[in-house]
Amino acid sequence: MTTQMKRLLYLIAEYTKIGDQYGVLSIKDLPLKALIYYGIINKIFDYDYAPLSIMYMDNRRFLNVSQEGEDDLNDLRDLGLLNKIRIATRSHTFIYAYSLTNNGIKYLKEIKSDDKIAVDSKLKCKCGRTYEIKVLLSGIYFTCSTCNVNINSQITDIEDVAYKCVPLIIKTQLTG
Amino acid sequence: MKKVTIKDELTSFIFLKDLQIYIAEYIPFGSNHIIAFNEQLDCQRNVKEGLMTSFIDKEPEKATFSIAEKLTKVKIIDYDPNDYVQFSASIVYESVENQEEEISTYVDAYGRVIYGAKLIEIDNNSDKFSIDKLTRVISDLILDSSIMINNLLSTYQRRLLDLVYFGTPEYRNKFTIILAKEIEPNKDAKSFNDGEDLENELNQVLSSTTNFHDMRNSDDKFFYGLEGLLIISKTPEKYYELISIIAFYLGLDIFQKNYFNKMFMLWDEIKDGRTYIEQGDIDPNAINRAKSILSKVSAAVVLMNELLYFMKRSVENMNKEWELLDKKDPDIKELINELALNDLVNKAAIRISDAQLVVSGLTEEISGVNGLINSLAEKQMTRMNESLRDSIASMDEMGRSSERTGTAINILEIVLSGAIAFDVLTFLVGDYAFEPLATWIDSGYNILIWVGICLSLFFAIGLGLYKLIKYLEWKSEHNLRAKINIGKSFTNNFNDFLKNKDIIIRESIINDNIIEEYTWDEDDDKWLGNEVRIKLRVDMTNNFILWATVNVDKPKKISTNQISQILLNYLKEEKVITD
Repeated sequence: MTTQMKRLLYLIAEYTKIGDQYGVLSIKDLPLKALIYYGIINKIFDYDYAPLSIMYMDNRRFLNVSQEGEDDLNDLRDLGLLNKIRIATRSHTFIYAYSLTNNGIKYLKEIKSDDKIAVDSKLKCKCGRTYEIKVLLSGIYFTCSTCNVNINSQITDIEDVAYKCVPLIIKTQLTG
Repeated sequence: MKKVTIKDELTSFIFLKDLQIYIAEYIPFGSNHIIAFNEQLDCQRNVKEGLMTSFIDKEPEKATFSIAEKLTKVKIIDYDPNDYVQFSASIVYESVENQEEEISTYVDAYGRVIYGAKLIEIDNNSDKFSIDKLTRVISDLILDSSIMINNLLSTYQRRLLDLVYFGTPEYRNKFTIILAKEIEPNKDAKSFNDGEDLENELNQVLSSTTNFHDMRNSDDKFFYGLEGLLIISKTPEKYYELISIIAFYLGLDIFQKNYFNKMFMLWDEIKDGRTYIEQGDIDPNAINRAKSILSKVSAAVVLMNELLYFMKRSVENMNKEWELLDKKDPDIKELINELALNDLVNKAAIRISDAQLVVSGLTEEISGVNGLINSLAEKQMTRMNESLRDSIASMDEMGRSSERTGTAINILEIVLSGAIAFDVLTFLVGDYAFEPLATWIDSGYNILIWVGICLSLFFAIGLGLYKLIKYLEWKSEHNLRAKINIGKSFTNNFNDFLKNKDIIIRESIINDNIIEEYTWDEDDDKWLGNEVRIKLRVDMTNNFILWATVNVDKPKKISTNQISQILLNYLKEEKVITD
């Protein structure tokens, strides 16, 4: 278990608990991607990310997705700490959700408080509550009604790089 | 060039050298479209460069206009008026200075659209390119190519894309093929399948890599994922023709997946329509909602059917190209086997046949739901007519009641005027001040006789007033109306019967059946000296008399029962209906 995996497990645990009871809820893939991305740009996770075309509210969008984050989620599943649940959408595609297994809940005790504090500092509100995550067409937002906080995760803001390209001649049987 | 805005410090593991990028998609095109497309691009003129836009001139009377939309700068490279066109294109952004993104675009009558670019530089680095940064370039090319081609497509094609990509075709996914001469680290393809950093980086650009393959007869290798193919080869030219075919089938594959999703969504919408119909008896707006859904779905199904035709023609033509492909080169053969391209080619046509079945089912379903809506609407219309008839009858009754009230008020006025007259008389003669009368009342039992006379007078006047009210009420019932549900077929004499009538109103309702209403007046002896107005409603399609109404103004010695009987006898005597 790497530090990133422990933080990821703790993050999912915090967002899927009710009161003090862990593992009650499941977190959907899209809000989790937004949390991971927000964690990366705030130095909580040491992952890379890149734009990826994925289903977003029954349509396609380019989002900043971390393949390393996705890989760690799969590793946590392989270790028996996470469940992955498939749900159908209205557009007949599938989305996924994650929940903690009993072993995952037990493992939370092994996670150092430093890692928990690091996650809490950026991925939970200052009042100590988890954010309410809203997926809107304009982006994914983290809100806290108690503290009147509304943060744009920026996951839909695709970054540009400077590049130069020239046209290629495309050959087919028709062009000869 | 665009500014660098990456928020993260990237850790790159894989680098590629000498890069060619192909982005493929399927857009419905036919021969007519490609001819129009070539004309639109001014291919046959000497000047082969121009700016294109999807802007529509909505103010033809004005001489000038300003345009806020993105423009596509197009330069023709090669074309055949009936088959294909190849041009270089770039998007003209006002906000981006020194834009150096110029890509070639190949479009043919099979719907094969390929965007190609040779990458020269990323972040001032022209030696080798990290996959981390390449991913950002590719996503930029995918988005920009959508904007660029959108400016060149017909309104019809844009509508088709809008339908299949759920109203946001600008974010549609495409298949990416990357050709590179070298890869770092220079390892076997299998060693990139490490489940960690190397595989994660490949996943960024190929979206879940499923095949890591080293060619047996050369140093070439390739990586294949859900939305991309990366080929590493010192001699990429040998793959060009195969790439153009892969581009079609994998571009079509993405299009077909979206097409199927759309089709199932339309099924869901029809289901919603059915739910509204079930609520038709409770919710007065349900029918309108169901109709609105049905009209939307029907329009979509028409386009879905047309799309099937386009795809079928495209696959038929591309299958011929696939047959003609030179597959002798061992690397080409191996790539075809590894990607199971034979299977993909065969299944493309099967998928279209399957889709045809689902669309046919959808068309049947629409027809069924349409029938339900019509029947429910008819039911509602019948109810509305009944309620209208009831309210007319009720209004008629109210009118008569109002007349009776007016009569009563008139009588009250008479009574009141009588009372005033008596008061005036009392004022003149005083209370029993008439001496002989007062003397007569005071003697013996005359008082009782006087009371009797007064009471008799009271009853006589009361009876007179009662009779007067009844008479006035009877006068206020100035018409009688009878509706007779006949429900019988009419004979061939019906037209002759009508010819003898002076028809004053004729109404025709043409729906599934032709319904006619004829109105005329009669006043002969059979109506017992009354003037009547007869309205006859007939179903001309089925030769059926539905019902008749008879109105009698100022009826004289006639009842509604008599009216019904007279009418039926009349129709029988005239041999319009039989027993």
